[in-house]
Amino acid sequence: MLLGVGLGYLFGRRLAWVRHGVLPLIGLLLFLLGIEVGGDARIMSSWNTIGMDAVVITLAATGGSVVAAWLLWKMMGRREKKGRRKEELR
Amino acid sequence: MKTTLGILCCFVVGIAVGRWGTLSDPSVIGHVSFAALCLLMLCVGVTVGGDKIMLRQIRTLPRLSLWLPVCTIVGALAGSLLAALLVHRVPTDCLAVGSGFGYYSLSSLLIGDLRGAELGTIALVSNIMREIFTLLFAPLLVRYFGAFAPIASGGATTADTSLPVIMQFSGTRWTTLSVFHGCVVDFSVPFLVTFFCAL
Repeated sequence: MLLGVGLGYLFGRRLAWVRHGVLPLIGLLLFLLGIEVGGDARIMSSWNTIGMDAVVITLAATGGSVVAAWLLWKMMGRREKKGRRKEELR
Repeated sequence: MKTTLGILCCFVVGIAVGRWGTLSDPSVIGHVSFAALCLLMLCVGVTVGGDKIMLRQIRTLPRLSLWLPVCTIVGALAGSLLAALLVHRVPTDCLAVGSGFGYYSLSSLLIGDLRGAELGTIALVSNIMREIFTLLFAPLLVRYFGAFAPIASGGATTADTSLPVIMQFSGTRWTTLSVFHGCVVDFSVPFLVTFFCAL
């Protein structure tokens, strides 16, 4: 990936077509992951727990991010207010 | 949304093939996916490194707002740890899934490779949900948690798939921040996921 960043930085424009290669690759990889999942009887029989676990982790992780962003947003608001007050005093 | 559905279709077709098809040599799949994964990482790197306009615009943003990616990452990891108490899984499993930040393709493939197809599937479902959640609830998130909330919720997708929604509801003032956030979080995914899988 680091090699990719270097290449992109150096030849940005000329490598713009790479963007189009990403989606088919992702499709292929997920198709392969699907084959693995479909062939694994253990996973196929425990769909419900897998789904539930996924929901819980998603809600907890996304919630954590949102709360942290909310705190930052409040801090920004407070700082902007302070800046404005300083300008008014001047 | 259309791409997400298309990608989901690939996965579903794969499941059907695996369930009802016959494979002569299952180990071939592992080799092909590893090669494709390496190629994918290279492509992602090229896309991030090639975005020079974004790199220039970052300087105009308020300093404090640049901490948003850190907030997203720390918040998600804290949440994932909390989830570990509820789902009867090892904390590192939850942390690995949580540090996908909505980047379902990459995180599920990495986790599937390192921890097996079951956790890979959880990562796929969980991170797709995260993206869909962001697309659906962006207006509510802005109303109750401020303009940064949908960006944090979007995680690694805020530079591409969820960007239009964020521009719409958080305001165009934060477009550059959203792209910057998406790139930073995007970049952290392979490192954090492999780190937690290795623990």
